[in-house]
Amino acid sequence: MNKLEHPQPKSLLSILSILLLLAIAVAGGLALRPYLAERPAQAADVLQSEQRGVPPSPADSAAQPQPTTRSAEPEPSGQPLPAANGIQVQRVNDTEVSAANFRVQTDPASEQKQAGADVCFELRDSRDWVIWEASFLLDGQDITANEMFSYGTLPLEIREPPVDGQQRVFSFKGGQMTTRWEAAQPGTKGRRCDFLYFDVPPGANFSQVTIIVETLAVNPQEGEECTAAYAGRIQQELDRLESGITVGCVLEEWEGGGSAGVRIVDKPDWMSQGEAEAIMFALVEDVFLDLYGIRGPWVFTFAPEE
Amino acid sequence: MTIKFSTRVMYVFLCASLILLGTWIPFPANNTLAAGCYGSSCTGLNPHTLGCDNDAKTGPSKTVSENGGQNKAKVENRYSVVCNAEWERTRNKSSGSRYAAGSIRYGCANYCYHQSVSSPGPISYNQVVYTPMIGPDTYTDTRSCGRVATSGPIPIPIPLSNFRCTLAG
Repeated sequence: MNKLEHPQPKSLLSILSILLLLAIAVAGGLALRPYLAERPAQAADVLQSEQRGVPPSPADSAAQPQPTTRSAEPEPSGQPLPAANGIQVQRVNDTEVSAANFRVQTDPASEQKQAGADVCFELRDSRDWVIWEASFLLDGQDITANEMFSYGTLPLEIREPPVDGQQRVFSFKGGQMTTRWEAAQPGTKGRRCDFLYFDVPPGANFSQVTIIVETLAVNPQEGEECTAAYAGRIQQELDRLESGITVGCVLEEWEGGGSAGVRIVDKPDWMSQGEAEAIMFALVEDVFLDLYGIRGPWVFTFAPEE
Repeated sequence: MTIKFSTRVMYVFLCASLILLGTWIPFPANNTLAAGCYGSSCTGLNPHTLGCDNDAKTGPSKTVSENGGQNKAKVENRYSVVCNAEWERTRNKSSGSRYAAGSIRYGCANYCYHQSVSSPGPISYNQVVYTPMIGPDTYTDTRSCGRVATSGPIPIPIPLSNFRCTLAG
């Protein structure tokens, strides 16, 4: 056998040398990976879509302390709304929210009417940002405090903030969600759009509708309903009030489902449960919004019968 | 001398190949590390225990206010791309502790199948209950329904209604 073609290690030292080289080489390759990567990994079920130009981010990037309203213009980024006319855009607390395409629709099964508009807002990061609280005025009357009232959201599209020039897009249509990756131009922001609607009360006859997005927030994951920051801040506020109330975390499992959050675990004997809850619950929303929310309001008024 | 030179060339070639190989060794994506099920294998299981909440996003939602806001619940459809599964979550937004319950309904002509949850006792403001998951292998859409009440436990499943349920999605 020709040694020139098939060199063989003849000692333990040679074998160890080869193993060492193997380790160094693989480590070197792994170290080079980040510099060679051009785009984030994609899940197997994510569909690669055709590359599509993404319009630039909203023009006004500077923070403005007071709400501002801009005239109607084409949707500033990404997928156009179902109807491009009549878009209202407001920037509050450095966050832009738009509303367009006000409509009244009827559920074919129940004949319940829903009235609402397509509402879009900027995403600061890829967490699960949602419209946290909204309210509605019909002809100037707040219907949110009615004896019975309900409103909802139906997602239209979520565009996560781009990573390495790629943007993950979730689209919703006919009860189906699809995901895809698209190329994103520098400066493109994430954005979520929902149909924000309220169930029209019986007999309602309105000439003017005001939709108010009160707050946006990161919707906590089930396992993050009681973070140290959240529970700690509530406890801090309770201590500041010298309430004697102690809170703790709940994370329970019930036959496949479960429960999570913050609850009272101790209180002074003289204090009723109702009194303790009143003190604690009054703090919770503010603490939550301080940590995870953006306060508005973003106010949009439509005159549907004009 | 010739033999040594060839061995070195061999080692260099080997190293170059392995460096190239190292760049191709697949890393699991971060969001796939904790998922313990996929699709129909998630049905009936806990979304948090299985890690499906790690990438969860909120689908259709409904905020339901009764008794002038005394009983207020936020009903959400939650879904995980990594697990290809979804579930329902009800958040108590009332002024006091309330019993809470929720159902994710699917299948048939009128969403007759469900996964449901009902709290055995009152839960705090902003506390949630969430149902087991379902995998979307055998249905086209779902509706999430939920409510809170001063007495309980609340019977489940939550009946299908426009008032307490999200739009189909």
